[in-house]
Amino acid sequence: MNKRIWIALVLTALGVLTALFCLYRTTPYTITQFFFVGWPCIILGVIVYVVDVVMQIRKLQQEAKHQVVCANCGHKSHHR
Amino acid sequence: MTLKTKLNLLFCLIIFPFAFIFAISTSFISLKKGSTNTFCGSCHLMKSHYEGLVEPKSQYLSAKHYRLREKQEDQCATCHVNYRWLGPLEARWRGAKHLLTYYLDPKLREEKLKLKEPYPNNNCLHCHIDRKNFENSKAHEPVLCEIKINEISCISCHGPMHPKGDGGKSKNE
Repeated sequence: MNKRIWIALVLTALGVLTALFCLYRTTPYTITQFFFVGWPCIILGVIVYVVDVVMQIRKLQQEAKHQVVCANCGHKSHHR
Repeated sequence: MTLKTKLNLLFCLIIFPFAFIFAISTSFISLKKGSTNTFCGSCHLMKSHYEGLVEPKSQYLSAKHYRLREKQEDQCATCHVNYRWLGPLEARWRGAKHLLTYYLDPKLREEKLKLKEPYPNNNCLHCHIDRKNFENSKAHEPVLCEIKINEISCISCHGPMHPKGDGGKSKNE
């Protein structure tokens, strides 16, 4: 797992933890914490994950552009 | 299936949907719980107001309303959440601002509790406008229009609404 996926996972876990804490003890403080920290953490986690997926796809596309297939044996290789 | 694909599937199908559904349901549950009197009374500042509300012999207007109601658990929200679209969310936003102000500005903790905005008559009129004793009252007759357009506040004549830190024991403060 790369760094970005770890960041996404930690942010999402933090958001879920604040939600759990809010459910366990609903006070003005925990609700504010959930809405102002928990929700942004979950949304940021998803954004980081989506950015990671997009970057992976672009990397694969870049690699595919430079790939050549041998007409005789079907062997794939990169030429630069 | 490679490890990367498995991880992607785990994130897309399990972790993020679970986190979203959990957060949405927590939001609804916490908003519901946030309408209860005990929730409002859980702030140290609101303790006297809460005690003044639930005290059986309390003569404050809030307590009179509380005693007359069948559904008592959301009495605070009934009067303090504005009756308009997004009113409940607006009330939560106001509450969050109060909380942030409390933590960020220690000077305000020493100040007396007060509303940040004038109390809207619409919250009273939502229930009272259809009552005959409101429309037919001789005291209301000359100022009926001003009451309806919020020029004269209901609480300028009716009250006191809440105690000022005595737990509802004295009426005339």
